[in-house]
Amino acid sequence: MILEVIHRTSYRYDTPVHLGYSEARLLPRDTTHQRVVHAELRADPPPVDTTDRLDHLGNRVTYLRFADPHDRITVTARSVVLTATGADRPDGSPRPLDGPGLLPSRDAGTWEAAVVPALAGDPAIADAALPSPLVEWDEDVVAYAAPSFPAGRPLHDAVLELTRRIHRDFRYRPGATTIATSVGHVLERGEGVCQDFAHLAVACLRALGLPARYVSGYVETDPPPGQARLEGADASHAWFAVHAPGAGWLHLDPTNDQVVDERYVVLGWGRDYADVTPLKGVVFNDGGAQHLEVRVDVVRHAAVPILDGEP
Amino acid sequence: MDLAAYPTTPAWDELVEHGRARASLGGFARFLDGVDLADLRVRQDAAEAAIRAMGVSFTVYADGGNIDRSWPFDVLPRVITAEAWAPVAAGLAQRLRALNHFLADVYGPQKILADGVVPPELVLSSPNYRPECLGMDLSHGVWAHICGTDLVRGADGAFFVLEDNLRVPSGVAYMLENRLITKRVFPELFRDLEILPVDDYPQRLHGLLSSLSPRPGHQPVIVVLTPGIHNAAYFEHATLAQLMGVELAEGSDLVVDADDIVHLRTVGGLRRVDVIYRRIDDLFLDPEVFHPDSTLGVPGLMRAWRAGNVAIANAPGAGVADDKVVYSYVPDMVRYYLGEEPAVDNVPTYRGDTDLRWILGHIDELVVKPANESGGYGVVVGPHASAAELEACRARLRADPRGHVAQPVIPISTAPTLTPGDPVAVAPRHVDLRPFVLSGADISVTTGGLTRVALREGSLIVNSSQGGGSKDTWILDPTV
Amino acid sequence: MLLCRLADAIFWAGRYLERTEGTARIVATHTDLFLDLPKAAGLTWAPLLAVAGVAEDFDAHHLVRSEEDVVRFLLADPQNPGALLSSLALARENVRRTRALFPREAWEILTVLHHDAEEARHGTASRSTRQAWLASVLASCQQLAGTLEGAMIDDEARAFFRLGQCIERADMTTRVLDVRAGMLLDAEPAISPYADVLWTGVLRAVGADHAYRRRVSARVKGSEVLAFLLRDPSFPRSVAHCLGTIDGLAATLPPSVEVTLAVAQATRLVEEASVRSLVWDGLHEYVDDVQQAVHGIHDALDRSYFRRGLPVTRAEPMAEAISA
Repeated sequence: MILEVIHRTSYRYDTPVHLGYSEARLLPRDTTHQRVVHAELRADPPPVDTTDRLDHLGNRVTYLRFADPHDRITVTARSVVLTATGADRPDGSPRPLDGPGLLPSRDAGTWEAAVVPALAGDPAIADAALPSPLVEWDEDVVAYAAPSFPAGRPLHDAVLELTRRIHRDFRYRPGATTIATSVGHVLERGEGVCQDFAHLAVACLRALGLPARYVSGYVETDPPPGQARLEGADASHAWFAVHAPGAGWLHLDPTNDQVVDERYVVLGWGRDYADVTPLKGVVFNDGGAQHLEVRVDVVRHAAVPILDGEP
Repeated sequence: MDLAAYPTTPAWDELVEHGRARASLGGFARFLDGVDLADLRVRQDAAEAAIRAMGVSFTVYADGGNIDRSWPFDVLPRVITAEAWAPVAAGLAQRLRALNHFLADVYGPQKILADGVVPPELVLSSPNYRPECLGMDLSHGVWAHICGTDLVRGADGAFFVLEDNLRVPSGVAYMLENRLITKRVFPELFRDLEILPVDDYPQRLHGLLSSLSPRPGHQPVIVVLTPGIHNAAYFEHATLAQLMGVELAEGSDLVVDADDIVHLRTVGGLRRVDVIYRRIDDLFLDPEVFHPDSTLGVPGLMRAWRAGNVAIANAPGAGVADDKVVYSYVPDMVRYYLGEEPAVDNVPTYRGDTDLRWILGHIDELVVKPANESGGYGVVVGPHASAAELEACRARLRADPRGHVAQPVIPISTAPTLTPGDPVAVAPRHVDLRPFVLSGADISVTTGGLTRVALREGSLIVNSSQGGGSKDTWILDPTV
Repeated sequence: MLLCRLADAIFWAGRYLERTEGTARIVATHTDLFLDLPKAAGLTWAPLLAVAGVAEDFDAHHLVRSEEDVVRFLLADPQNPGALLSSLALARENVRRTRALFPREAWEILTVLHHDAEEARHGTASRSTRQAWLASVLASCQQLAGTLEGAMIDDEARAFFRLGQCIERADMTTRVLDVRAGMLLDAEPAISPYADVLWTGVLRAVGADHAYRRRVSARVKGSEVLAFLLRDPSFPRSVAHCLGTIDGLAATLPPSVEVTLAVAQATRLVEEASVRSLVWDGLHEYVDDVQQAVHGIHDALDRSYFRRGLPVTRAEPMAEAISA
């Protein structure tokens, strides 16, 4: 599938900003299931300095520095990504390691087998089983997760059910939470948005010793006729991935109770939202309020669209 | 002074043995046996007057504000023979060498984690681990340039390492001030005895910082970066800057431009900065990378550091090695990196994550410490704690096992200390020792260090923020 | 090499110390004036509020314009950030931040002054204790000035300290002129029997009576007082003398066109004014202009030195959008 993503973030400031630094994680990375055909980041006013790097998780990071007084900053990321599910792969190559894709078959093993043994293992995986600033848990989280994880149950069944339960038990309500809402609060209130549900799922999994990642990305905005439009299409989206030994990272979207597939574009992943914040930074001005507006469009194309500025 | 009545405790006493001054201390032992208590009181008063006049103070965070307090000081020095000190100093150098290997490894190839010598989770889950620092290649391979190692002596007088302080260790200015005070108060002893000097520390530190400059060949511009006047250790920051003849800067004094170079804002314009001796915690260093709302730090500092345009001592991320759980693996690091046996031992340490049950069962015999607090905050001494305190401590342990360690209560050594009030008396009080180790192209250890003393009878907590005081530390060559 | 932050703090140390001294002097001389004049002269305490520029603040706290309230507000009221004790505390705080730049005795004098003044906080109501207290504050300020004169290294730091003093001093002199002289000119016929005493009071408010008599005449005359305080180059608290000193100090600093222009602008305003026409019309507007020009020098110093290299004012995290 060919998906084009346009993600525009606009800030308006009551008093002019003299200087601003920001870090964007707005350009998608290649995974086993997506290939980035085109990705560009533009900002207005044009930043006086911009550099690209990969962070320690391999996500693409763009650093932007703004100088000269200005009262608006607009950052627009545009990318075109080819996405595929395992089934689409013409050569029938191995199952995904780092990207949305197929679930392992039910005989891939029990959920207990996916638990990271204490004090051992690949640091990159072990890291994902540890608490992080926005994903901490208590007995309530453990109690919420428990019913889906009876002894000996296949990981496949357990995580699918957890995904379904979160979708069923929690109300999707934009504005109910903020970027810093804790997992405990979401559990108590019973409502939130995709970021909260992803954090909750990650907390449940880690509480059981399972390595889980928070994934930042997009989902197709306008589905083909006859299919339901998925929540989270107007903003950047988020879901989780769990590590299954031998199979890789399985991506599931608790907000929509979906297995992540070719309708999804991955931006990057980390321990939680704070590792993959799409756009963050600091500005310097004389005080006064700031106004934020975000618009995201994900459009399906039949062929790679002609892109401005491409040779 | 008649020491026959000086109380005997199970702990090692630094100066007294069998009701007499330790003979090994030579001339100082003769002084101690001969001096009378009234004379000591006069000298104590003189010392306190000197402290007020010199304005030596520290700041205590208390409810509702900061209070400047005079530095509590006991006039009787803690004395160690040069012979006893030499192997300890060598052991500290060995330890810091291993710790720096460890830091370069953790932020580089991570071999020690891959080899399973130190559990990866332990390092990667440490709140002091900074993935932002991965891949940095630092001059001399050194991350922790200045280390304050806390030592205690057990019942037989052997030294143990209690903890390593690799973030922003403080106290060295007080070590220097203490020496100035005892020189004023005991001038005749400095004439008659061979007391090894400590006052070359600022020059050594300056030399170390200069050697880190990314622009060899230029006269380096060095600053001490302080959180400001309300910080508990501000006095020390100001003193060190003054003694080294460098600027004492706050975050707002520094700017980083698009060229990734750190500049000092002076009335004559911007001046390039080469080396920053920072006394600000990692998370406050750079709002671009860490706490976005930090007003203490310098936006862009990490960029400049990553670009190799400025040296920061200690390097960001060095604190991952002074976590009290990671501490328990330092002897393994010494063996792993250096192929040597540790010359100074650790205090036996139980880890909350692996030994929780045992700790909970023996909590009334143990000292329980949070893994990542400094200044003695949150430390519970089992045998001295009330039932309610123990229960609260158990709850904290259960909630966050990884965040705690426990150690047996060591009968840490005592030293004769003047007690307040009349009549004048001298009583044993527990002491520790914080030597400062500098690591650049080579390693040097202060002669002695800062001796802290728990001024309350029986107390084991020596931190100045918790009612501790200090003594001067003399490394003495009694053969002279 | 002087850090911008330290230059800023030491400048303010100079301003606040001068303000402490100036406030002590205006309150002390006004109290004296009451002792010298009969009730019939109709003297009130309100002008003091105007000189200190705190009349609105005062009224906002619903205080009565009685001697007791006015004096307490000006000297010791913690609600008044411009009170003498507040200025003194701020002076000390700024000296504390820049301690290494001052001779040690200066810190000790200031600390003693601060503690003594705090202890006397509640003794402002009685005229006799008040006068004794203010006299001791003035004496300590002078002692401090003398210590700095004799022991402070003559470098950039001292230049900024003195710039702060001179700007505050020029500011205080213009305010005395504006309020006190302006009032006298407006009310000339009514107060004529007491004109001498009142004009002398104006001189005393800036410690100028002795200097005026030596320099101008024993007979105190309104327009001459005005001219003297505004532009006699030999009297240290005249506006012209302050500006001359500022000019000289600025020349020792790294060059700043902005500061040079600001000083020149203020100096021109003072030199070119016709005092005779001011007496008859527009003193208030004119003094306003001079004050603006003096503030302009401060702003120029601020931009050229204190905020040098700092294009920023306040750091604020950018809002982050929730992933939805």
